[in-house]
Amino acid sequence: MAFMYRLPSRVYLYTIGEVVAIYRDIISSGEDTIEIDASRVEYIDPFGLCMLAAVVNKLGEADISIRIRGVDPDVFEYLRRMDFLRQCRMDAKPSRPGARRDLSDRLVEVHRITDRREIDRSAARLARAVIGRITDIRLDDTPDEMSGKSEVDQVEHPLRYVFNELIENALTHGRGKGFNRASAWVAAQYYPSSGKMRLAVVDDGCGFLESLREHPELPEEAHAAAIEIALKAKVSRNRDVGLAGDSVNQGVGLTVIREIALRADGCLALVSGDAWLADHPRNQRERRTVSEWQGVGAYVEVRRSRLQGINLVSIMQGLPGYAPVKGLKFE
Amino acid sequence: MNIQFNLAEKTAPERFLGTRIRATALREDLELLLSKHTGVVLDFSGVEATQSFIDELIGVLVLERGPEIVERLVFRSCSDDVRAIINFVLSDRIEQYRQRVPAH
Repeated sequence: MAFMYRLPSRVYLYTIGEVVAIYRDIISSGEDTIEIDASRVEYIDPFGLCMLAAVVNKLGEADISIRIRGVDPDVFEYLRRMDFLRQCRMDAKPSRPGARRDLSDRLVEVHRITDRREIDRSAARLARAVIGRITDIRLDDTPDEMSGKSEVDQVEHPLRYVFNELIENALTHGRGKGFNRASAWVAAQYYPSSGKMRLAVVDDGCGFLESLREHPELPEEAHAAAIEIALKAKVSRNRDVGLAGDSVNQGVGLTVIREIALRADGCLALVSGDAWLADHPRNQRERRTVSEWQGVGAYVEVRRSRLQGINLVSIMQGLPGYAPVKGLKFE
Repeated sequence: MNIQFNLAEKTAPERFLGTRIRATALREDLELLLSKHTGVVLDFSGVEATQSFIDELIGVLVLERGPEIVERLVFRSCSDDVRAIINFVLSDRIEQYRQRVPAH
């Protein structure tokens, strides 16, 4: 009889650690066939889905055969389409006549990205998928005379900005220190009932601590400390050309994403190693210790109505090091 | 004589320039133009970009060649966002270059 593991009823930001704990239990059990009980699952957000996809992939790489039982019949066909679940056997729980519900807030697509050349296209597709679910947006809106942007542009540009930077982080920094085969799993969803958008990117790369281990600002060799300094502007292992043998960067990507999320009345959460951190508006920071994930998980939540008013100019002007450059020629 | 470098044409149909890998390829084209002409007009008409893209395109150029290279660049038709990103990238990279290579 195969070992049975039970998913929580809500697979989301606050239960990510439980999903990783299940993965670690499976690996340490030494079993080559396991069953996952999904009968309690009522809700999976983009972060939960990305982490599940990453975990299923890792189990597949370890030649562990997976059977998922008790899948909600309403979501069974939908889940079966997903590439990352093709390696699993899946059974739906019996459906009840007339029990079909509105799943518009619950169904999310997840994609795996392995090639950096795919990032632009994937970021565009995800942003468009999110916008496509906004029923009251005018897709043919003409650009505003002041900003030069249409209503769609005002939502799409910050979304694409966030996706591009997060996926780029996953497939560049995540691939340092011998993790050159790291992948990124990405998903996004708009929730009309709350007006919120949720975006997630999970990678199985080296993680913040490995990436920043030799950084002079790291106060201790701990995952939590590594996440905290990764959020500080201009902290990076490779701000200089040619250092660390990979792409150069300025170390402000996460700082800008955090600003976009908080100004849009949302949050930025990061998981790396055994550390979990979530930043909310008004300087509220939550910290937790969770089961250790080898890699980074990033989650961004924004309120759609506030995203349209995001001013990237003031975010840039607020970064340390910003100063008008003498002699710069704009025309 | 300045030569025009149209980013929208180079990256069509995309209007959003996000990744370093794309910027790296464009920087190679830009460096080729700089080797043949006195200056280059970077035309950002109709495109938006991330800080990573702008840094890889022109920030890295400053780190490799020094701040003087900026005098040979003209930025045309930038949105307010792109203009702010260019300003941040260049101010940060010029400061970093000067710290690394103190003036004599």
